[in-house]
Amino acid sequence: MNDATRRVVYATATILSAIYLVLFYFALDGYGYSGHGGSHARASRWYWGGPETFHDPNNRAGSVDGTNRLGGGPESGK
Amino acid sequence: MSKVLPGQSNKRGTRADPSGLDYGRIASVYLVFGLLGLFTAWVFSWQSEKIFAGPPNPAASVAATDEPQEAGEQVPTQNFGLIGPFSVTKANEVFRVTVAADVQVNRWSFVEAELLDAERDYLFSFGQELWHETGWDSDGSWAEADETYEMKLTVPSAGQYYLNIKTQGAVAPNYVTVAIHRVYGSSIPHLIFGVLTLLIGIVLNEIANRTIVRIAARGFK
Repeated sequence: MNDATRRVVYATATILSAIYLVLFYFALDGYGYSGHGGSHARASRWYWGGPETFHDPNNRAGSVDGTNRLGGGPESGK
Repeated sequence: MSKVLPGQSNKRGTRADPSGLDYGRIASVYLVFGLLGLFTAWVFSWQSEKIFAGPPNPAASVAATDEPQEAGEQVPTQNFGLIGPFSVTKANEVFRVTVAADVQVNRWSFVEAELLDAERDYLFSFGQELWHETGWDSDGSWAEADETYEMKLTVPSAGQYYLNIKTQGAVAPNYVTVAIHRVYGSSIPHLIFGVLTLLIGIVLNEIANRTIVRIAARGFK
């Protein structure tokens, strides 16, 4: 391995190690799943295969007479 | 005659330019970190503690009666049971919820879990249609079913929480069981890191060694 390659390998390993360690903060903070950042927050696109999620109590939330507390789900339309 | 770039192997496998960058070595670094990232993501999906496992408690359900049927609905939604309260000790803890149902033959049921706070107010919910089908064809009888799903979620703040299980379908499942496990953390950050670094490593390795090209060429012969 020549000097130029060695320098690039060491620099790359250092940068990737730093990123790898910083990511522990986000992993332990629950990043990427529904609920991270508040109950309205949806999951990351990198989380696939899970069920559907519903973040509004129902679709009546903006209605004048909506009760706003009926729960979510596919049945939650007006 | 093809030109050999610095750092790229020639046909004999020797470096064309010893003073150039060895992309194969650099690729190895990315590949190692890619695998390390994916392994770490897998470790974060391990469960650290069982919170609950079993059927929800029907007597403690949020509302004893069915929800009113709304316009356009074909089948009503029923409150199946309530789980909790369970404690979340710190903000942004990650949980894995596994829902399994015994759906009657040739029926479906949308099984939904609502996350409720200590006052039993709705935070968000998740659910999936579960089904069980049987039939006959030229090969004889067949049976297919999808009766379980898994959800990972982050609970944004510490406190007491409930899961309210609801079902929607012409016939309720015979039973529903729910398992809640605390996991070590989110797999997503290290999954992204692992996938991206692996891709960079594979590209650099192709520049240096053309491993995939050579394997593909050997396969065509």
